[in-house]
Amino acid sequence: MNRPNIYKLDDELLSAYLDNELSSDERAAVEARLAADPSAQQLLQDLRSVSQSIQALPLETMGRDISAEVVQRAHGVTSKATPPLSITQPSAAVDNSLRVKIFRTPRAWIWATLAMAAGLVIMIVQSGDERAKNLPPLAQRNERAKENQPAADAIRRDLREPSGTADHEALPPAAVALERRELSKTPAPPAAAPSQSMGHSTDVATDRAPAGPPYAVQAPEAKNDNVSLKAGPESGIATSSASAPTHGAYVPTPEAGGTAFAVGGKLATDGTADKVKLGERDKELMIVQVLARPAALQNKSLDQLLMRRGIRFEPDRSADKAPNLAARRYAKQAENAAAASTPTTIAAANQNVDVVLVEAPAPAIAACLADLNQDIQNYAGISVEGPAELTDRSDSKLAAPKKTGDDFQKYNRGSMPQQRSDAWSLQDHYFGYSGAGESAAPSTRNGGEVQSGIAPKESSPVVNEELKKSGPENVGRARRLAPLGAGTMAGGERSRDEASRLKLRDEASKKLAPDRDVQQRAKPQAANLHVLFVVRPEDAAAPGTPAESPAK
Amino acid sequence: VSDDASLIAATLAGDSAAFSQIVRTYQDRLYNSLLRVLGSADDAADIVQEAFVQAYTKLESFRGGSAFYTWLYRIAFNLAMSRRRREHREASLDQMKSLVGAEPMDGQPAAEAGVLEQERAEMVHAALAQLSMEHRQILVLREMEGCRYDEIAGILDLPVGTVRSRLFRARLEMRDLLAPRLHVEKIVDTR
Repeated sequence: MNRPNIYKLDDELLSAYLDNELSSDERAAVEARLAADPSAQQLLQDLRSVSQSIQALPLETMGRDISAEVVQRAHGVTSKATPPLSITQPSAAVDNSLRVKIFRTPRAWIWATLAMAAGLVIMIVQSGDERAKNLPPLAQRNERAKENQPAADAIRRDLREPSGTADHEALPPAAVALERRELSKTPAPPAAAPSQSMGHSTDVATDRAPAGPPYAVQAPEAKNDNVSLKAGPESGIATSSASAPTHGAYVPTPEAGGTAFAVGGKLATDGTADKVKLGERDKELMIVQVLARPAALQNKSLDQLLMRRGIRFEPDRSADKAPNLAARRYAKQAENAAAASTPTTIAAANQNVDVVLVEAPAPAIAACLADLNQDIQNYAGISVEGPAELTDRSDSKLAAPKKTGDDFQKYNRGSMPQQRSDAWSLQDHYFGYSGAGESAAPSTRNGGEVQSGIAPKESSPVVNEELKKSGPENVGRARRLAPLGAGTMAGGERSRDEASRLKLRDEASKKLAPDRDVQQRAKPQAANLHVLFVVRPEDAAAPGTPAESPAK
Repeated sequence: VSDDASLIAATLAGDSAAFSQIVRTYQDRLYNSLLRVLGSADDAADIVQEAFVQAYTKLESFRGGSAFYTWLYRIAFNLAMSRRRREHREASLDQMKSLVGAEPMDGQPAAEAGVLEQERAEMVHAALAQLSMEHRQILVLREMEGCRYDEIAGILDLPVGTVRSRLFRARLEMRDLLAPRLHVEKIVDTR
């Protein structure tokens, strides 16, 4: 018996007419229609009848006063602080000054997220350690591990959080990704280490977060993704060789097209999610230059390597799967910028240069370097520079530079794995790393300076020009390369630095024999390492020059 | 409204008794509307209580731009929607019956006026239960709460034009649902 609800558009006006919700013109039109259209009159009557039927429904009541229950429950809710918004305590029994306001700022949410992430990483790292302990150790490896145990312990101490709050045994949780930039058609990466003053404002909250460096990665709103690595802070490339007395290199402002990454215990925010600064103490930056085979570049094998070692990075290579919008946006901008960039004159102009900046504990970095060192198929050469700031500043008796920086040099190689004899001890100690493909060609102490696959790049005109431009950063670089107290290096010209740094490092190495009493080392002064991986095509190092230069 | 404002101010100043007064003022009105929307007395009572609790804890965010009851109703409406989504079900006609009693038998004339009124209410209530939640909601807001179109638009977060068309369609659907019953009643009345 239902009638189909076929009606004219004007019928809707009848309903609104019933509710007195028409304009004067509409009302006049409806009344004119009602005067001439009996069906409209019937419809209006039906609608009125429906309305009256509903309005005639009896008023049901709850039958009881729920006010006491409501207030009691509300007090329970506020005491548990569960509501996500501002919570107040309106009760007379509660002082208004004690009203709790939770998560009102983005910063609060950031820290909450970071805390959870840090917890997760701690679990992962700890479980990883357990696995390592359970690995059946090779006898030979154990021998070396015993021999080098003091050194490894000392290195671990060196790499601990320097603050008083870090007086715990646990290493910082692994793996913090800072930044990833894939640069297409860009000049060669910098040959120089970044400025020493990579430290940044330290957030007080960092020191209140002994749970370990959480990691948060904010994809940058990069506008200049096509910039050369040699660019300064404006480039947003944190690891450029340009002088950066301020910390802008790491934390460029958004308007400068830079990046702002918040990482771990070094995170500082100004209350907004977009501005995060690295910690003042992050002065240990290491540059790992890698010559990658074409297949490795194409397969992004460095990504896999980092992931295997639990080092996260963002934006993810798979931009479409980037976990947050900012990361996706960044990846897209990087692509656009790369596409728009103009060709350069260097040989690598048409090649991709992949730059990955990560922060991670030294053992994790060492593991990655060992992986790189062993992966001959994918990588033609590895050059490690720095870190050099792992120096003791607290004990005059131990005022010698830490050996840690040099320890990483052992992973340098050309086309063949080339590690110092104790290269694996670090892996054994921290990871139970299986040295199946252990180097058969341990280098000399200065093997770290081989840089076989990278050396040609050092002589590249572009790089040389770049180096000339990078004046003031040599202060930091010299400090990093020279033993503590080697004031002669401070303020040196870049060319002089390059010429003398090997010698100085030799001297430092001699002072720091492997069998020295490492127990005498200073208290930990270093935090996580910041490492820049510069992955370049194998054939982009220097056209016409051999991929591997003879070791020094 | 001025009473509401003073009670809210007193509540924010720490006088929980003031909020108790607010609860007493609006609890039955809110319950009645939710009963028609949700179709379940238990669900309606739960939502009413929860809505007041949320209103209490969020009272600081109430800016007074609208009537307190409108603000409260919106909280309750959102809670009801959340519950509906959670349970993935509409209020069933059986629930309606459990609330208002058995459906009257067709064609049997009411012996007394009171009984007739009760049966008529049951019939309308049952018809409401057959509507979609959207149509129930908008009919309740208009017919029972007496909200203007712009108020409904504010509560339901809809354009006013949508409110007007949706209300019209809801009324048409109710008309079709009630038509058989109204037809029988007309015959009885003419005897």
